[in-house]
Amino acid sequence: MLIRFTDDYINEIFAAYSMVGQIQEFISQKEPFVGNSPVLDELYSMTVLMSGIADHLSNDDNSEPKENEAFLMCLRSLINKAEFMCKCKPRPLIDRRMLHQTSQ
Amino acid sequence: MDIRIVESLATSGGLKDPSFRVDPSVENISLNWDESLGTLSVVDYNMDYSILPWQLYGDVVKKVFLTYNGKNCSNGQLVETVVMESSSEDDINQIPGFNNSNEWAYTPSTLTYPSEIKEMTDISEFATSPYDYSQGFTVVKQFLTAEANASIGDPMYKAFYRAPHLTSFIPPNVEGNKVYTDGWYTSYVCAVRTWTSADPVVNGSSKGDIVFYGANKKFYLNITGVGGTLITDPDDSNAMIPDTTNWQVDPNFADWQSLMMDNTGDAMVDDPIYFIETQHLVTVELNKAILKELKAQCNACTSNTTKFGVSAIANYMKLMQKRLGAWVQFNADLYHEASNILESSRKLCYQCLYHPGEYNSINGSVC
Repeated sequence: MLIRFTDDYINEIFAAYSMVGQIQEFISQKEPFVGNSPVLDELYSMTVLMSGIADHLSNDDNSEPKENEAFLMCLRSLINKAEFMCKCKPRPLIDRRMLHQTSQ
Repeated sequence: MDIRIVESLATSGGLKDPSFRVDPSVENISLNWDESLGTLSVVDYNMDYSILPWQLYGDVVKKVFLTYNGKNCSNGQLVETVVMESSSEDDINQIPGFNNSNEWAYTPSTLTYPSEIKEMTDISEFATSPYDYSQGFTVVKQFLTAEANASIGDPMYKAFYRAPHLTSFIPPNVEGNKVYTDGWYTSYVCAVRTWTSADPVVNGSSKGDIVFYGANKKFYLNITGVGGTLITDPDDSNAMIPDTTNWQVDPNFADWQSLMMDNTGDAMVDDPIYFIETQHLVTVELNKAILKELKAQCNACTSNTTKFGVSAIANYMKLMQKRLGAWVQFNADLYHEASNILESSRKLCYQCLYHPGEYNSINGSVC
């Protein structure tokens, strides 16, 4: 079955990317952290996984739905865990272009 | 499975022109990967052969080769292996007609060796080859760069090919019973004319020309430069075939390459052949390995006690970077380097990074 997941899971994908951005900003203030902080080390690894899963779900068009559902569950789990660890909040999906237009 | 990176770049030949495309935003010739069947297919669905400047549009017949280009890690040589060849006779994929788009499948797991393979064992042979290791990638680029000096009504192309040298060798994508799919491929899609009474090849035929003879549905190679005539088939007194003095049946890969090479420059006359040469980068195995690593990490997602760490995702990151690196080099026309990156993960090349559990014949270990 061929399904493009981008449209169905756009909220989760956007949330993941927004978390990656926030976490990277957070740990950028703690450099160098690798080997010095297990917590930051873990956070960094989680951003790699989140972006990897989001990237896959954004582009995949050849997987079994069941497989990608498992990826989605993992992504949600990572987002929740990161939210707890770095006190970040996934940003809601907003069309920034519209925001700029209304604020002008 | 994610199949994003099966890249294609057209590099030489008259059919490279975008005007032959049905959809200008899609490549002329591409490779499709079917996960369920495990096949790589050369597809030309985006080609519009109807604008070929030949008078007999309905008589075009296609001949297709898919080759694997790679470094044989046991001797360091770069070799080109024909892994798929369309039938030399008329079949479902060789139906005459300009508007037939076809699909030619190659299944790596069931590879059978073609008879036309080549190897350069003597360093002096590299003098005729653009693959001179002392020159690095710049020479590879020379081989793959087509010079299009198109003038109105008279397209001319220059390209560089290796001089074929036929012998036997171990293809670089084979190790024991394992046939690797990932790597750098080259496809050659040739459109040739049919020899008919309305279009006798005696007009303008020259040595090296290949035509399709419709009566017995076979390809013939001109070996003398003389058009010749039809003679009675020795095996069938009721049939006529091209005379065997001037024509040789079933040309091989080297003959086809020579024809393409001879008709890419100023000497091209009477448009004896139209072809397109396309480079492809395939990373389907690497994609699969990346997903496998990602899944392994996802198993940890559900655990409250699992700690993520840089060391745990090291393999995943390595594989991602290999794919990205190969993709970047390929799109910079550095096909040889892209191929090296992909092949660096094989057991043949010591590391077997994404084929865990396989036996490494080099150091005797199991990856």
